Amino acid sequence: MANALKKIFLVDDDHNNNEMLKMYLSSKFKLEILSFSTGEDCIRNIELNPKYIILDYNLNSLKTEAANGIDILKKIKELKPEIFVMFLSGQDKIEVAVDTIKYGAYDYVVKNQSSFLRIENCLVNIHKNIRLQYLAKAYRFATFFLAGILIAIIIMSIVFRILGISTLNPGWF
Amino acid sequence: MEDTRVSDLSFLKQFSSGNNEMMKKLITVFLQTAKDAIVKIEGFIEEKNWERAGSIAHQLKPQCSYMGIKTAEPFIIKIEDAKNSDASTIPELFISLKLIIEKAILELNDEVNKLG
Repeated sequence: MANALKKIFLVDDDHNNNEMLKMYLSSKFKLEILSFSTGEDCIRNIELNPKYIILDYNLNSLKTEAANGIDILKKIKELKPEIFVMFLSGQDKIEVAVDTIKYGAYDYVVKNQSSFLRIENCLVNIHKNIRLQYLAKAYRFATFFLAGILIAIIIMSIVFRILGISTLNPGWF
Repeated sequence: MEDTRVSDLSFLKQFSSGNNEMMKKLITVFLQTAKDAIVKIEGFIEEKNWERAGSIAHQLKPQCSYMGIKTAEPFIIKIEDAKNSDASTIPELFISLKLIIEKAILELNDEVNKLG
């Protein structure tokens, strides 16, 4: 299944907000977008392996017993710690935002007119970070590889010297 | 008599990049959401269920922001805060919020009609 689109889950009990975000993201990125109105629905579908989840904090306007965003975040991080979770919430209390970051959210965005742009920036930044991490890994590998070759050359030249073979004129000719 | 608008669709116009159908859809969904929210909040206030009244008001906040109904936001914040402190002020705050939302609904209905 080559070039499968990366999945993003939108979890918000506000259908209008989910729709607007879906419209916005589909105009900016090639993503498979799935919307859920409760965190419980999101967890039930976690095996679909989304790369990103955008989560609201208050999720109980439709179902009063629905868990809040932080409880859902904890569950996501327990099941799939590699998923990038961003909060998009009308809740502007700093303690809530700090808690979400503490439990592993990538960012916390307050719902307002600039929130769509901020979510777009978050996704771009995540993509850039992943690319940088990949490059750093490749750079580390190349460094180790070159260091290995250098060490091998040094060891060989020491061995040659011990055996009395000149590396400049080994006397093979 | 000065008649100042309570809604401002600048953001929505920018968001929908001039797509009238999209604008119409978003406004229509807001109109329904706002009407439902007002009825629900009224019901919860009657039941003195401040927690649920605050929760529904909270949901209206971003929608009001998208429709440029800036004057509604302070009342929504006060209702949200009052549910944990002085709940007796909620009915009065709600009356002010309701007036703003009802005016916005009239304005936005006009906009939907203009969009055809």
